[in-house]
Formats: sequence, structure tokens, C-alpha cells
Amino acid sequence: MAYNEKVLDHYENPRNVGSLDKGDLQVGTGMVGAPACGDVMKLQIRVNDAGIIDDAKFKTFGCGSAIAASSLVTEWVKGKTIDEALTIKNKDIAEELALPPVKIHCSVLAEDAIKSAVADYRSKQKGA
Amino acid sequence: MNQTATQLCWSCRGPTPAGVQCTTCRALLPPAPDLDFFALFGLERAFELEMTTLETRHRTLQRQLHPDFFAQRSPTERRLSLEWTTRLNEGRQTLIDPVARAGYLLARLGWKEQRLPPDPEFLEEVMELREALETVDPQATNALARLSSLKNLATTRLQAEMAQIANLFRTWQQTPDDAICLTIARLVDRMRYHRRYLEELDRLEELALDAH
Repeated sequence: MAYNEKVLDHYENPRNVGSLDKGDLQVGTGMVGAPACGDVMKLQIRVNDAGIIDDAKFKTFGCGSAIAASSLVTEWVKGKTIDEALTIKNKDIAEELALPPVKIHCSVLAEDAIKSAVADYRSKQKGA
Repeated sequence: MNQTATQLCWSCRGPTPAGVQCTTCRALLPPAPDLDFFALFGLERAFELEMTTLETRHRTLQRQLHPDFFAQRSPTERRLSLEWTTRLNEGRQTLIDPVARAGYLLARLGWKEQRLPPDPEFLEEVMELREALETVDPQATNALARLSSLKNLATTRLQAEMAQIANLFRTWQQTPDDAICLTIARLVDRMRYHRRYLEELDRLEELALDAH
């Protein structure tokens, strides 16, 4: 299957690969995946005192579309509040990357990763 | 196989318990639709299994039911011998493989297969294992040593999962509970992953061996 140009671009030049400090209270970590197939996606966001996501990192093991979807959302969430980040839907990701139907689950995974990272951040804030 | 259930033999019309052959006329009987593979091979329904016993019983039944022995018999018996042979092979394939065996046992206990929401702790482990693998360069001199230590790690985990599954099935026999099945299903997912991981390690090991 031929990959779309935007997918290839994110796949070949992934943005924001890496890790943030998991122990940091300002950092939310989202871990999602389908381990039986070997796909796993980690998305981390750092929220500053103004409530804005000022950094995001990802690490994904999976197909090109999964990598591109996570790379794309790290770009999209930066500069947004967490509530704004939650408005990013898998449909937006799939459209932006022109994902074919068999790869829609990659965009679903990326949306779940945002939700999971936000949930982790919120639970840390509550506990603090 | 429910040994007490009787049916009418298609050949002699007499009553016979379900089984391989009619107890009266020795004609081959059709395999029961809910044929239990453990019962078929005379094994206790458990996750732990004596492989040699399975292989010996499989071979005995295979000889007894082989289509060659039925070449001169009625078309019905020829067809039934083929059906039995298929069921025997299917049974062996299912029981011999731990992942398939656990899935089969779960199904026999009434568990419906379903997609489970991933467990975060396990995702964390998957991430760590993938990261470890990513740093192995098959061309490097230490590649084989690193691969073998990862192999030990994954094998140890796989064995621990199998031991837990065996225990949980025993617990279920004492006190049947859906929560136990769910735990087993999660462990089967882990086994599946660790097995794939080991396959990947084997593939890299071959590359490393070629490189040195």
C-alpha cells in the first residue's frame, strides 16, 4: 500500500520524538495500544502554569500511519489548553493524513492517547 | 465427550453411547458436534498437559481412524473416517499450542472471546521491551549476548504466565467465576505478545549470526 505524502513526511521526519519526565506533576503520560499486535503509542504532554500545553513528545512502535498520527498530534496539541486538545478527534487526524479505512484505527489510537495523557495529567493534579 | 448420552447408530439402528465406534456393530459414528478435544484424547481438562500422552493417543486414534482402513467400506464410513481424521488433527493442533489450548479451555468454560481494553501496566512493559530491542544492532559484537539476555527475560515471563494460567484454571474448577476467565484472557494476550517478541528475537539473532 502506498503511503500518503503527509504520512511519509511525518514517518520520515517525525516531530517531537522522545520522552518527558514521567514523575513531573506538569506532565501527563498517555499509553495506548494493541499489544497483541505489537502496536504501542506513548504520548506525553507538559502543561504550564497558564494551563497551556507547552511541550509534547511521543514514542510509537507500530506502522507508518501510527507513527505519523502520533507525530501529528504532538504538533497539534502544542499551544492548546487541555480542553482544546480534547476536541481533536480521530476523524480530523485521519482526514489530515488521508488515512485509508484499514488505517483508521491508528487515528483512533492517537485520539485515545491524547485522552489518556490528559486523564493522567488531571489525576496527578488532583493528587497534588 | 459425554459418555452417558446415547444415540441410535446410523448403521445397525441400535443404541450406542457417543464415541468413535458403535458398541454393537463397530461402525464409525459421526463425531459429536460439541466434541471435547480433551475427552477425545482421554486427557483431563486442564491447562497443563502431558505432550507425550497427547502424541501417543493422537497416533493411536489416527491409526484406528485412518481413511486407508475404510477404503473398502461404505461411503458413509469413508466420509466419517475423513471427518474424524480432520477433527483429530484439529484437536492436536489446538491442544499442542499453549495459546490455542488456553483459548479453547476458556471457550469450553463458557467465556466469550472479546477485545479487552489494554492494561496500562502491560503497555508499559511492551514499550520497555520494544525500546530494548530498538537499541540492539545486529552488526555489533555484543548483539548475540544482548539478544540472548532479552530472550531469557521474555522466556521467563512467558513461563510465569503459563504457570499462572494453569493455576487459575485449577482455581476455576474449585470456584467457577468469570473474573478468573478475564484474568486468564489477559494473560493469554501477554503470552501472545511475548511469543511474537521471541520470534522477533530469533529473526534478529539470525541476522546477527550472519553478520559475524
